[in-house]
This record gives sequence, C-alpha cells and structure tokens, in this order.
Amino acid sequence: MQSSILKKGQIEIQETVFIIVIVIVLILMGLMFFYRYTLASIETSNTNYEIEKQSDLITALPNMAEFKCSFLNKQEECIDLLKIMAFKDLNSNLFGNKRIVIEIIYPEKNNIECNYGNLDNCNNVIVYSKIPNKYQRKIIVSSPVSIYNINSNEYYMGKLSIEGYYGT
Amino acid sequence: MKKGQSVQFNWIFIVVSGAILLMFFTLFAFRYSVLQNKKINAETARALDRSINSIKTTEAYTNLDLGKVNEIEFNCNEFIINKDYRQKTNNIIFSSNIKSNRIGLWSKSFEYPFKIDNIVFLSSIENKIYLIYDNFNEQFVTEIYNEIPSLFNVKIVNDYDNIRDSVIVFFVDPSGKLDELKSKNNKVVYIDGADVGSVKFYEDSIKESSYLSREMMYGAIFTSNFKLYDCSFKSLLNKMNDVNKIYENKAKNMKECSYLGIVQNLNVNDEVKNCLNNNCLDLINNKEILDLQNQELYEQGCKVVF
Repeated sequence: MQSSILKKGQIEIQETVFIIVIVIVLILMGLMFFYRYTLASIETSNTNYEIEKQSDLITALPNMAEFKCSFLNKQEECIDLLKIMAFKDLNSNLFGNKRIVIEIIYPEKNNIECNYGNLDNCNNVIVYSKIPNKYQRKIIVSSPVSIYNINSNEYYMGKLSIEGYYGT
Repeated sequence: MKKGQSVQFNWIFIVVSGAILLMFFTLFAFRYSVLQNKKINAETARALDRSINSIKTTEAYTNLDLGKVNEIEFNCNEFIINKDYRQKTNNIIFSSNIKSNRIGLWSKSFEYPFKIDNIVFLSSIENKIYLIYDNFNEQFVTEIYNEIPSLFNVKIVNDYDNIRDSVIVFFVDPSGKLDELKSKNNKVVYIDGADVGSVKFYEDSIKESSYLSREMMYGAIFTSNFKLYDCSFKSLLNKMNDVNKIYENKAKNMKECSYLGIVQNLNVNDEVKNCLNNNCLDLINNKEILDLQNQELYEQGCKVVF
C-alpha cells in the first residue's frame, strides 16, 4: 500500500518535471525565434536602405562630375557620351554590386554596344558592371536622360538603368 | 523514495530550474538590449548617411538633430556609430570625431579647375573653433570666417589666453604658446598660406600636410586632426586623379582640333604621387595651366574639354 503511494508520488513528480521541461523548451524556442526575427529585420532594413540608395543614385549619377556635361566649367544638364566611355575604361568599383547601362532611345540607332569608333552609330553603353555570382534580389530602376555626343554635336534621348544585386 | 527525500528533490529541482530560467532570461535580456542598440545605431547611421548624401548634391548647409548624444568616429571610407555600427560611404567627408546630438553639415564644390566633387564638412554644433588672426592677415581670416556658415560655432579672435576645450586655428605661427594651449585641452592647427599652402597639426608631435584650395583648408579646420585630414585628403586626390583620367580620355578622343597639349597636362599621375609625398607645387601650377589651355581652345574656335 505504502509503496504504491510512493510510486504514485514519483510518477507525479516525473510528470511535473516533464511539463516544466517542455514549457521551458517552448519558451526558449519562442525567445530564440524572436531574437532571430529581430536580427533578420535589421538585415532586411539594411537591404531596404541599400535599395533606397539605389533610387537616389539614379538622380545623383547624371549630376556626378564623372558623367555630367560641362562648358567652360559650367555644368550642363546632360550626360557626356565621351565621359561615359572614359569612365568605363577606369574599371572603377565605385558603385558596388550593380550594373549600369545607358541606352540611346532617340534617334533610333543600330543595336550595337558603343566603343570610341562607333559613337555615331551605336545605341548602348555598359557603363559599369559588377554582378555577383550569387544574389537573392535584383532591383532595376530607370530614368530618362539627355546624352550629348561632342564629336557630332548631337543630343540624344536616352535611358539610364541601374540594376542592383542584393542578398549576396 | 521516502517522503523526506521527495520534498528535498522538489526543492533542488525548483532551485536548479529556477536558476537556469533566470540565467537564460538575464542572458536573453542582455543580448536583446545589445541587438536593440545595434538597431538604433543602424538607424542613426542611416539618418546621417542620408543627410550627407542629400547635402552633397548641391553646395549648401544644414543641421541634423540625432535626438540623443551619439559618438561618431570617422575613418577613411566609413563612420562608426557608438563604436558599434559601421556605415560605409563613398563621400569625401572632412570631420573630427563627434560626440553630440546636433551636427552641422556643409557641402562645398572642389574644382581642379573642373568640378571634382562636392566635399562635406561635419562638426558638432557645440564644437568651438577659434580662428586666430594678426594685423597682417585680418582681412583674409575675416573672409574665411564669413564664408563658414553661422550654424557652426566658429569665432574670430586675436586674444586666445582664456580658450579651453576648443579647436584653435592659427594663421600666424603659434610656436612658443603651444604647451600652454595644449594644457588647456585645446587642439592646435596652423594654416601657413592663403588659398594654397601647408597645414601643421600640433598633436603628440608636429604633423604637416598640404592643401590645394580653400575647401581643403576648411577640411583641415574641421578635422583638426592629422590622421583624419590626411585620409580625406588622399581620397580627394585619388578622386581628382580619376576625374582627370576621364577628361584625359575624353580629350584623346575629341576630333577637329589638336588636344595633345591639354591631354599631357590632364595626366596628373606623377603630380598626385608627389603631392601625396607633400610636394604639391606641380599639381597647383598644373591647375592654372589646364584652365588656360581650355580657354585657349575656346578662343581658337575648338570644342572645349571641360
């Protein structure tokens, strides 16, 4: 009789221990999940900020000294085609994981990539290209730009596209 | 199991599991607080980065209220908020390390002679900067003082005996008064020249560098530290070299006129190297030559390079 009461007590203790352990494990898992979620949200906000900066770059880039037209030291509202070509030759790492392309939309030209020899008869320049092997997101932003070819003294209507690669 | 043993076991179990839980919650609270601080620091860094990016689109000045006091440490191409969050930047920033909640930002164009970039000066609003003049350079120092936006705590004086915990910028040789000034926790900078010249930073030892324009001189004033100035100075020279290469390649591929002369002078690799070794004379002279050559092209009816 006495031993069966003791056994019953032992079982109750074991049950209590088991429940407490389960509850602790659940709380631990919950907290771990919450911690990781907060950590991930910081990383996501970093990526979102980089994407926001990409949108700012589309307005900032045509105003950079490396691209902008100038006449007697006065800045003009266009992109200098010869400067774009020269920037391409620099092999700069200025923009991180991005691909920047300028296309000539009007007047219509042959679908050929520009080089110094065919500037009057080409329609696109890959200004910058650094594409990572692995990435999770690719965001493209575009904007119309005015392009000036100093040798032919012509203005073209173009499209500036910036592809950003995130989650590398 | 006896009844006494069961009660004992219960107590041991409660104490051990309680201790483990308490330890875990404490650890979690600590790590969570670290994480929250990181999040706040990241937001602060972005707020500052946004302000820098927006001010540098044009020549302007503004102030930024960060809400609470933050420590901002500057390195060459990054700044660190509260020794925790690093924000990379491609902008050329002249700033000393800041501990404040209110920051003044000022952007100015740097030209050689064509535009290179807008450079950004930062300083805590509370950071006191004194410009010291004498009878010979009062007019020039007053001009400098008037150009610096009034949001910065800059004063122009010729009596500096009672100045403490400040940046003191001399336009006259400060030798002889240094020990006294440094004992009052002041940072001492000596600008030797006008729009071009050399700058000395009186730190543990005297460190010297050069400046090629008034903007670079402002850079020396706002950094008031050799390492920080030198770092931004080198970044600016490298950027200048890159922009020169762009114009050099452009001129090489321009048709109709001969651009050989200007192409030669647009290649400033050697001049930049010399300037990084504290001999900037050729680079300074080259700027004027380039401006003349471009003007001559215009007068000859040719298309100008810049």
